[in-house]
Amino acid sequence: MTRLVLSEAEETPLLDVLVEGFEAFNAPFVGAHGYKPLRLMVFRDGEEMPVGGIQAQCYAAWLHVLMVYLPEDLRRTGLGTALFDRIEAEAAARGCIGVYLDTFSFQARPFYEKRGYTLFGTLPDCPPGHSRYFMMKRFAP
Amino acid sequence: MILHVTDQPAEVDRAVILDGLVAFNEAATGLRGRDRLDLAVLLRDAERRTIGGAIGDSAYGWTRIELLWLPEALRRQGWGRRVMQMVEAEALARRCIGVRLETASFQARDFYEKLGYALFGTLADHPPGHTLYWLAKRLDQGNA
Repeated sequence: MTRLVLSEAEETPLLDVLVEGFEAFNAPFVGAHGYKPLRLMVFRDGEEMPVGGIQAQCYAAWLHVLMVYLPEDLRRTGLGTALFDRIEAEAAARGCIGVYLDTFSFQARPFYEKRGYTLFGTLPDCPPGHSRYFMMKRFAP
Repeated sequence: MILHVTDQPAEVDRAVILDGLVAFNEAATGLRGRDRLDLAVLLRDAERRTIGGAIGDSAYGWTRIELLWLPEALRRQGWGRRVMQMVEAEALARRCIGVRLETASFQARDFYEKLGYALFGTLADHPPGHTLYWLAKRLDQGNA
């Protein structure tokens, strides 16, 4: 059974339902191609604010990693690997076919290469005196 | 000359001081003093409504165009070229050495290449069935 409720209130629970409904209806058509933020945050035990993590987004069936940061004492502990294992798996589960990112020549290219990322573009002198590497990895089907 | 004290400095007041300080620091250190600045070249109609243009930012010595769009009726009339010329002029004013951008295979790669942009990266199947291209143009003389 259904009933109709008319309301003159500005805020009703209707909006959330509509947004969800539209997204569900559209999903089979747009699939994983729509824009969707995806963040993975690292918290120290008992703390309320994240200390690092990955800022990324899913779009056009690709995970685009925008920023990665871990404080000095959390590097070389395997946490970076755990973060990427997780976010790549989550992206694949959301229908992404791969991941891409860019990293400066003074950053983490060897880390990404070890994870199977390959170079698909280089922009020299970005910033001047350094290079910006563009790297990608396709997920296993 | 007068001294004016206020608790509400305008954006332009702040800009004068920031610009001056940044210029001083750049001259003193030889390093770029201001990183990451938004950039928009907006196309506006007679009522000053924004109807298209380019949005991006500058950082690390490069200007990046994030979005560029013109309404259908204004395409193929030189507006895109003019928008890009203004982006490049502003990039130079910010001491950027180049402009970079991405464009999809169903968008405007030819347009950018005619303006001197060169392909430096390709990502196939973004989205599946299409390709995303990375292009860049050096504005300094060493067009490397």
